[in-house]
Amino acid sequence: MTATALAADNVLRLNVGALDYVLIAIYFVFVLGIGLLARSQISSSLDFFLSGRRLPVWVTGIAFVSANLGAIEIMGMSANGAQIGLSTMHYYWIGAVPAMLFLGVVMMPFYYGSKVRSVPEFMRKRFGPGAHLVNAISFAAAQVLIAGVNLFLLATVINALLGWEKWVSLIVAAAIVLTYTALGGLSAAIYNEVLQFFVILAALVPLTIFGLIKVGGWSGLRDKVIDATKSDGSVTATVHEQLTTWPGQALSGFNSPVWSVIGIVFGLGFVLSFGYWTTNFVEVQRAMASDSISAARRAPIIASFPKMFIPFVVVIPGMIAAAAIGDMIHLKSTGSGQITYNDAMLLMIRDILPNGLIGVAVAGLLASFMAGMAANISAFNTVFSYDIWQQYVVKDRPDNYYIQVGRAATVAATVLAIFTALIASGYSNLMDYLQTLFGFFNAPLFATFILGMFWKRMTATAGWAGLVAGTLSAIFVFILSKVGVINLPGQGMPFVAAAAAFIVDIIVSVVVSMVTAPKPAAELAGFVYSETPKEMFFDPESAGKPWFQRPVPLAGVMLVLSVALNIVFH
Amino acid sequence: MASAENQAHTTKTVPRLFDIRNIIATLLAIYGVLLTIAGFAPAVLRDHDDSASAGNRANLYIGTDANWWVGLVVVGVALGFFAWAALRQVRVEEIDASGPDSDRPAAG
Repeated sequence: MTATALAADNVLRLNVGALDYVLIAIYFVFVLGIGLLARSQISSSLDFFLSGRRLPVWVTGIAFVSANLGAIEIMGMSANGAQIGLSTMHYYWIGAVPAMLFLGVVMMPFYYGSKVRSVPEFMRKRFGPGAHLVNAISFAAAQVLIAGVNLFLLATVINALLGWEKWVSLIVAAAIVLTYTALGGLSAAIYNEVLQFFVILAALVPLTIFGLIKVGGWSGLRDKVIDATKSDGSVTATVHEQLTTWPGQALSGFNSPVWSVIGIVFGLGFVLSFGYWTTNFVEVQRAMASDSISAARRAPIIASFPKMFIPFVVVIPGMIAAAAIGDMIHLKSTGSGQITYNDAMLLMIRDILPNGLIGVAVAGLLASFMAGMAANISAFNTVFSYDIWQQYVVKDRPDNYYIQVGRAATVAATVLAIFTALIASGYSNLMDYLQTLFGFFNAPLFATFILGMFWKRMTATAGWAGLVAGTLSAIFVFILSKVGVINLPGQGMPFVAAAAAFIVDIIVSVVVSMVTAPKPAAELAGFVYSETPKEMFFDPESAGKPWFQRPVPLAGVMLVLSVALNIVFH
Repeated sequence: MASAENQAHTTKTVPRLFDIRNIIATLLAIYGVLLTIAGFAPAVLRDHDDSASAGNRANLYIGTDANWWVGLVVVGVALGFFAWAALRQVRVEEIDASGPDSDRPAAG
């Protein structure tokens, strides 16, 4: 969603009562309490940055899905539901789920088995400092930016819903996140993500069920869906397109159904989503906090199960909003109005829920904003402390020193996020461009990782050269679309940019590897498949366990479920 | 570096002071009880006033009874978490009971 796109405040104002505030206040007490409790468990830097690698798999699995279930995701995907209907499901069933399964089955053994403490650290050990610096610095900068945008949106949403001054909610939320992440490190962030998951579901599930009851069930909703029309009268998503997932032309913006399917499967599914879910340390860090290699592999696989069903309580409410709520119908049929698509979920909360449940919903939204920000900050302080500070600035200090660095980095990141939020309130377009730009780092990262993991000949120079060339080609495609050379009306531009970045990265990496010297094979154990002794990836826990406790069979079942959902809602 | 830290971990048992399942259950139980009370005593709530929804094609407002429907379900989920935490205790205690076959402390 774009940073400024919310309705004028009084349209969204909720009728909040004392009970709602009590429920919100209770939530804040729990959030801070978890920070205090988690603090007592920190005795080494690994405890602070990776929860000592001893969390059980259901916790890391829920945190894995919850770190991505921020308010930006909830509001953005319900906006998509209101605008393009069921085509939005591709972000989950073609995008996220296969990528999460791939992470668990193929890539997690490298991350966990090689004992690296972050994704950039894997980059350094496989490709050396060039690729490492590109990865670590761009990642750290992106986290601060996203945390700031999150904070700004929280202030905007709370201002619209409750009427609080923006600076009040901005400072309060930042102070709470800072307190519990600085005290409890990753454990506090993860435990709060798990708590947030249940609170937000306690709001979203009833909201969806009540909404469906009120519009006359699924068939009543289907009857009430209308064409999405732009202000010039052209239809961007027909009713039929909104009620089917394939070929998804309303999503991709391609005229040809065949190219639309290819664009969604290769661009969104393979390149964009694989890039995001398998190389983004915010996500991978959660799985790395697991207590064994088997648990680390199962975390994203278990997470794919809730991920499959989350769109039913996010996308469907958006569709209900666009089928029943007057303001949204006006926007959808004329292309203009005093609200935006991003307001879909907020309008649903306003119109469906009574006092009491409104409090749960607002607590859930606040929780998901804060958990999203805490996820960015806890990933930032790990990469900053281990990959930048310990690696290049102050080496070889006692372990305790790096916990202090981590706490200082947490404070610095929060202060920077507040400034980013202030900039975002003045220059929202700049923030949108920067977010798009950082999105371009993921697709080439995935190309470099996957080639580097399976091709021992790939050299250190090829590592950073491929990354830079891939990112530049994504930016090139983005500029072409901005000046009108490529014209895609839907959301297909990032798919094309990501596909271009992936292909260019692979070509450049192969060509550069041919003319530069590879690393000696001995240094590649744990980092390249063919050079890794089987014991390193061996997982003694899985032997003799039933299928649902072993990564590969479990992933197979999840894949079948995901395909089944695609067929049922085709 | 990493291996040294790992060794540090296996040599000492990190006590588990709290179990996230009980915390989730406590929060959900409080929410569930408050919602149930609000559902059966709607006088504690503000009057419903949503003039902005006048243009809707269907009246979406579900009413205050929904509070106790959801409240009771949430209490049920909370009891489920309490039961799970009570029946499957965290593994540190199992080490005390079952001896050397699980040497790694684990969270609950």
